[in-house]
Amino acid sequence: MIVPAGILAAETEKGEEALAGLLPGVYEELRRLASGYLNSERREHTLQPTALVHEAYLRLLKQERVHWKDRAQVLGFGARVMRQILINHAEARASMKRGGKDSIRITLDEALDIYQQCDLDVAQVDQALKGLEELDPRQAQIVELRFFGGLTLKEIADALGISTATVKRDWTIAKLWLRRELSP
Amino acid sequence: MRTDAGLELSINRAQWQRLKAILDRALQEETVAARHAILQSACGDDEALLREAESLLGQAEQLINAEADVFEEGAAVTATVLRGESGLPQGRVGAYRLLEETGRGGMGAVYLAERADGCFDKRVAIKIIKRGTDTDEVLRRFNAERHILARLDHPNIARLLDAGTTEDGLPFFVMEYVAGETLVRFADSRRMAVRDRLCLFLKVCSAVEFAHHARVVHRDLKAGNILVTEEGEPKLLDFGIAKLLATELAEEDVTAARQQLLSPACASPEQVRGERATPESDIYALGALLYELLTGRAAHSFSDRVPGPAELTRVICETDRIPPSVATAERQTRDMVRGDLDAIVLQAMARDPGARYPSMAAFSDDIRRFLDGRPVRARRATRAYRVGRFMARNRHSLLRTAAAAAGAILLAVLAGSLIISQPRLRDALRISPASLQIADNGVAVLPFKDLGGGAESAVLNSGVQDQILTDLAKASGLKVISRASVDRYKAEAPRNLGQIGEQLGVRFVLEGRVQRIGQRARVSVMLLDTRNDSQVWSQDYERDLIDVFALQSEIAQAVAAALQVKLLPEEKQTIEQPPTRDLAAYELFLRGKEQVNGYLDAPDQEESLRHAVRLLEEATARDPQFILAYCFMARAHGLLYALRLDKTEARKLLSRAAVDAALRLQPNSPDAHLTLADHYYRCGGGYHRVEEELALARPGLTNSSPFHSLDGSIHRRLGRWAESDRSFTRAVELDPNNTTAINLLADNYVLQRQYEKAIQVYERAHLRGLGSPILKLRAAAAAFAQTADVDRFSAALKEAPADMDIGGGETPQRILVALAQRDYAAARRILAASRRSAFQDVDFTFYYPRSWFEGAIARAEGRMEEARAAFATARVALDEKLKLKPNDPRTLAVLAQVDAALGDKEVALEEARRASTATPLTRDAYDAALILQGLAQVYAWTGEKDLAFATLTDLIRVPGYLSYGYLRVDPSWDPLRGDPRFEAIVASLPR
Repeated sequence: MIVPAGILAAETEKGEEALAGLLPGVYEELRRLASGYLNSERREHTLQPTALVHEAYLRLLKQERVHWKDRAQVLGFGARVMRQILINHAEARASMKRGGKDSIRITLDEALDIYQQCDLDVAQVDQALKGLEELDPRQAQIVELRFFGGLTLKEIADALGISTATVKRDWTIAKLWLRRELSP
Repeated sequence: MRTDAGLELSINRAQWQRLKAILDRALQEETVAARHAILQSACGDDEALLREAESLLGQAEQLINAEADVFEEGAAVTATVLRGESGLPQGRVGAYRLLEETGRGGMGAVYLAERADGCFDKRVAIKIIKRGTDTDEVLRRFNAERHILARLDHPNIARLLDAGTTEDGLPFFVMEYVAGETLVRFADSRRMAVRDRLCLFLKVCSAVEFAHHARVVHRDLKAGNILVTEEGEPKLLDFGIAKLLATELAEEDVTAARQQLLSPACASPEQVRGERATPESDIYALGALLYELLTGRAAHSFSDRVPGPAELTRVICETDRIPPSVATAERQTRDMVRGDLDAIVLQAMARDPGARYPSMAAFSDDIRRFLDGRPVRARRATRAYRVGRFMARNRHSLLRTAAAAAGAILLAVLAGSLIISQPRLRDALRISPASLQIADNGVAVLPFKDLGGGAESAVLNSGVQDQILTDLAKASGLKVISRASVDRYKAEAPRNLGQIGEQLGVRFVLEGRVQRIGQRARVSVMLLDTRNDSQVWSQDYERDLIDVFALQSEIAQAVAAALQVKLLPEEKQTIEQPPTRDLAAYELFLRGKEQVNGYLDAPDQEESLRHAVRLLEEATARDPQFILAYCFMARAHGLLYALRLDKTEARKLLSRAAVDAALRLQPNSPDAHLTLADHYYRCGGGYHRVEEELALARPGLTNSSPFHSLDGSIHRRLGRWAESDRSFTRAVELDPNNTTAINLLADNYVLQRQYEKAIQVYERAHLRGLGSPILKLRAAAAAFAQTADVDRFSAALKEAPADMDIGGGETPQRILVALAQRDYAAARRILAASRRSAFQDVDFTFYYPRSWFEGAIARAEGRMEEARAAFATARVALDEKLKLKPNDPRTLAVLAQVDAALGDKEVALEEARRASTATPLTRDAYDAALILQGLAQVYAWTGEKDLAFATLTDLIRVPGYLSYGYLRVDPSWDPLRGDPRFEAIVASLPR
């Protein structure tokens, strides 16, 4: 399975225009990232769209909005894209399909190395998270935003419009779930 | 249950929710046994649930015991990947070629570089800021501040040469390249003695002092930012950069992100709290640096290598500092540091910026005093020292006072129990004895007695009192009551000093008599202790009129000396500097100042302010060096503009020109900087500018109530409520009889929905003997916001003078009450009784044309045609206003409500959103909340209930005027009533 095709389609149906209008440019940038990643001929260009996603991400984090719900949607989308990037990279690495040496790939490699040192397999986390999604979509979203989105608990609370205490509780219990699912 | 992902799930969604609650409860327990006991009892007979719970809880034991939580670590890794940098820059940056990386920090990396074209054989340092900044904004700001940074030409400051964008789109700065060691390492590697370290440190101080004069705050002083060359010259790096980067974050209010930029070793408590850095923050950082330089240890110790926000707050904002002499291991250093140097470091590092050295000059001066073997000021500043001295001098009279005070307290307690019957008042006294707390360093300069000599003598009399008060207020070691609060204690009426002391919260008062005999002035002054009416000091003077200014500063200094307060050198200097040498100019100034200060009560504000301008112009014509006259002239022009009495751009420019004149005469004049801050606040210019000017004014205006009021207002606008509480409280302490100051403080509590506190403020004013009807009415309004008790509010409004309508603020309240009582005829009568063409909200921020209220009344009554006509008229009036100031969010917000009432849904929604988007809460917490309230109203009137509730839900989470009372009563919200969501919102508000 390759990146965001599915996600993109789903999100597009939900309202591409709404998203694009909400945060001009960001959506476009995320999509460029996706296509850049998909197109193996343009692998050497992955640095730029990925860097753009960083920018997009940071802008998202700072965006002050009245309607958190919309922001949550965009943030959630960003986190999912990151999730896919990490998983794809892990897959690519596993099959030794490593492209040229660019810095973002090095960064991703470093990230995966650290995950490995912690005995974390990104693909397994992804899988376990899918189970949680069945039981509690919002809780799974919290994990996604935290683990794949790198957001703080407070940021997640603001984004989803719920209290930090709730986010903290859900995150703690989700960690129990993930740990159990990941344990051999 | 089988999922798409192919997982086997043994429980369903409902069970999972139950399980989460059970686990959450279990996790609160301390012991393993207790946790399992909770599971047992909560799961009951549901074995599947219990099994699932047990298996998950088993993980908890491991997670808790594990050294690190892998998922937290994973999240941290992602955060680093996402927020970190993408890699090293390759090749050229601007016109430069990077040679090697020389350093790396929170902001980015520093490289040694040289000109790629070989044009200049000069090496530079290039700092590339890591991702996460808005490059365009940083560069725009750099260009805006280029001239300021260019002024930083000092041998101990590394020059900032240029800025630009890398090919990756990252901002970079080009700086003078400095080869050297960091300050602490330089001193350590040469085993420098304490004295030599201090001399080196003084050079650093002089550089920072120089920058502060050029109005640049470093914000990020730390060991790594100070390099020492081989020749022993320290060089400060990164001056101005922190600000170029930080403002953006400040606006976005990402406290966490801002904290990431902080260097834990030297960050001040205010910076950790996410507040703007001031010159005092640099003083703090240098204090921390000196700590490290003397002891070899960082001033703070954190439990983590990279402390998180909670740890930063705990250590920097809450933990007491260990004196350097205690922290140092070396005995010789310890003996040298103990005492004076301890005191110096700790004063620089005081948690409260106001308790630090007031300026870099004062800080270095104290170090020099230590080096010269003179007594340091930091030690004298300690209360115990001063009190000790005072006790020794006045042992006998103090004993008498103590006995008298004991009697007085007993009486007060008895009286209290008899008179104070309202429970809230009792609480006020119990919770906050501050209302009666008397400052030992407090002094009030009461109006002087005029012993005759004609009309000229009266002016002289008020001038002498005014100037002594002004001079004395410059002593930061004293608390000096503002002029507006002493005026009510007329010299002709008998005075009860004990009562005055309690009302003003001061222990001492200065009384005086002035007599004019031809060209000579005779002045007698007497300093009295209000606790026992005893005379502390007195003196008679007789001088030529020409010398009266020198006399005033002499008296002020004598009073300070009698109160055992040492004046700092710069304080002494400003006291000795006469406001003018021209008596006639001074008289004109006093009259102009009175007009400016009294504009609120003037029957014709415009005429009063124009008159002030004329008087002050005459004063400055006579004495073109008269700084304070320019300041008040600027205020008069600024008020004419801000109150919309003269809306022309020219008026604004006149205000600015007058400030500039003052600043040209004395670039560091605190009064001029306060005036400029006020100008920016009233006439526009951005809140960050106001803050910068206030920071410059602060050291000289510790006793200025207008300063603290403006400081509080700006904190409030920027959403820093605790700080605004503090500043407004200080303003009231200094000016306890000033109605405006009292209103500002109480209103701050109303906005935070702490109605009890607001009412306490008013009740304390009442106890002090202030009977102003506006105070009573505002207290009633606060009570109404809390209780929705229309009848009581109505009674209070009836009690107030019928024609009271300050700025058009009371008529809307009367109309609201009439509408709440469904008495439409009364509402129309109230509106008809006022001759105003426009009204304002409670806080004079928004502008509602008269037709708005006509429409609102008609609408509430159900006369829709009449309402439409009125709103159409209102639209025309607002359109006119919008032409004058296009896109003004405040006008747009009202216009949107009018259009909503007219049924132009799309237009209304567009306007309301535009207003709201233009004013985010982070930019102006005060306006934004009011505009959001307008937005919610527009949603309510256009049938967008979901959006209305979402907006209201947002609103009740932030401070604002939206209250239980208004939501319950105001007919504007009628479309939402009955909906359970609305009732839930109303019920959730404090009452």
